[in-house]
Amino acid sequence: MNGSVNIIETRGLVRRFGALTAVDRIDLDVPAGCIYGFLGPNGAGKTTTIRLLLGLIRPDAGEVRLFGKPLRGFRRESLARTGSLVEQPSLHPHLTGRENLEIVRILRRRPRKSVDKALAVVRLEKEADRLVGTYSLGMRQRLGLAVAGLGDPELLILDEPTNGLDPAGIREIRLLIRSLPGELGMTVFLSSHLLSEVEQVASHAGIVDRGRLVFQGKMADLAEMKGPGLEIRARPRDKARLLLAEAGYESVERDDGALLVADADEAAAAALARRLIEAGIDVSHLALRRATLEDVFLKMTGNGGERSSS
Amino acid sequence: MNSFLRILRVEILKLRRTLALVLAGVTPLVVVVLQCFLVLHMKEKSLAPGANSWEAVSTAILFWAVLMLPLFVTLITSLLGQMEHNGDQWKSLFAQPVRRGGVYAAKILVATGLVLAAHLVLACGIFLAGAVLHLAFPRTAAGPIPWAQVSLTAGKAFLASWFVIAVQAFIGLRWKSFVVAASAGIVATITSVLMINSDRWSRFFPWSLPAIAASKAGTAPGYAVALGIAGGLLAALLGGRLFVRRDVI
Ligand SMILES: Nc1ncnc2c1ncn2[C@@H]1O[C@H](COP(=O)(O)OP(=O)(O)OP(=O)(O)O)[C@@H](O)[C@H]1O
Ligand SMILES: [Mg+2]
Repeated sequence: MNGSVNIIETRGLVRRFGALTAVDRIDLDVPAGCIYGFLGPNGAGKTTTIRLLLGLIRPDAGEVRLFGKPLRGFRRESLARTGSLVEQPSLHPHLTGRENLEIVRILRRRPRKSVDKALAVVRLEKEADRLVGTYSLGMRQRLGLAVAGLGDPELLILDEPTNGLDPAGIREIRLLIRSLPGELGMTVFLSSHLLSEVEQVASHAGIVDRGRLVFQGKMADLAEMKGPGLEIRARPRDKARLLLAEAGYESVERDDGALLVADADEAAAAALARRLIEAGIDVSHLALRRATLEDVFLKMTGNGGERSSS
Repeated sequence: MNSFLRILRVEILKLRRTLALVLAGVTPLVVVVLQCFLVLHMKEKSLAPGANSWEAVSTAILFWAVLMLPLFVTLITSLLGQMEHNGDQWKSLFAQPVRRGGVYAAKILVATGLVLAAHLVLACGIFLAGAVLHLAFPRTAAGPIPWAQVSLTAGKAFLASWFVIAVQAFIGLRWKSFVVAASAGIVATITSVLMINSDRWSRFFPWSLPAIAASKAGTAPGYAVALGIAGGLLAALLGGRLFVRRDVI
């Protein structure tokens, strides 16, 4: 495949819900044959963007191009080449797994054997003839992925694909996704609110926060941005943050209560430690360490990245 | 295969294990059985020597058209809507390479097909019940069996119901809540029953048209059939236009 072609391209994409701008001037560039991790905290606008990509909702401004063609005017043609899973899988509980796949197979004009193949890929052969109403959450998610991948579409758009899967299932899906571009030349666009989930599979990343795209590029470039950082545990926390701010160091608070300060070197660490203690703050932990990708993500999305997962 | 036929095939596949076919069989038969009880209750008159048992049962079409038909339409159109509303099927369906208008048309066609099936069951039920009553009361006449009259009346009621089908289908597909579709259907049906004797109003009320079409009075049936078909096509087109423009959230 030609690496210079963008399979997904958006320009100035805007979508509002009343006063809220859920998607705010987003320019996506998803090259052919890549795995693109679309990251952002809860409510950042990931699902809304995906709905726009699939033509489920209309943008207030801007344009979506799939396979180099505007979605307006080429919607059906582009969707015939795209498999998708948006939020929870939509499945008919009164039909069997196989019948649910059959529906998509008929609509997408795929050969009969594509159903068996899709079932095999997500390892649901044994449950194929059971009613979906009796499926477990993980089985439904697998079937949703089978629906998306039925007939090997050129583009796969997955919204939080590992939702509801156990660790073994997550690993398995991760391996599967990773194999898609090589084996089938697919392009995969997947969203997640956890960087750790995407970091190991994605070659490219886009980070969205409150509707804005705050980073886009190769995963490696994102990793480059990891500078040294300082991890502090102190009480009272608010006072400590205030003090750090006064000293000119922005801090973000992690889920477990630790404060993270980016771009702090050894000298800064010593100076900050002294200041905190002199101000009567209890410091139980202060360590200089190499920042992780998660820190970069947290910093870009202003502390929202590890809010409780949906 | 043509893309509309694919959508239609999928719509029919989705009816598996639903109550749609059961309803299409049971609801008209319930009306026929009730009519039989009524006939038996007044057997001195309706099953008198020389009386035609088929004609006695055929009044069932009117009962059907007044009450059961609009309720049946409400039920099956909501069933077709709920099937997609539950579990947010629309997003998955419309992310497939299908025309939204095609899906809408297929839904209406399936509903209309089910209503047609119900009318066939109704007509067959009447012929069968008439025969059973004749065998049970040999004093009644052995015929003539009103083949043409029963088929024609049932056919008119069916055609006049297109308007209701299109309106209820729109409500059922547009609103996620079953209560919206059910209330609309029930309230409209009761309204139609209450004003059945007021020619002025019921002439334009979609829910009254099948009953008018099934009645024997003058030119009204022909008019009701015409309005039923025209209104049905128009409402389907209009509803489809409104439906395809909506956001799929
Ligand atoms: N139908 C809607 N009506 C009103 N507001 C909406 C609607 N859909 C989404 N929003 C708002 O748009 C914003 C973005 O929502 P979206 O679902 O795209 O977030 P997300 O990134 O997918 O989040 P999550 O990780 O929780 O799935 C949120 O503030 C949400 O409340
Ligand atoms: Mg989401």
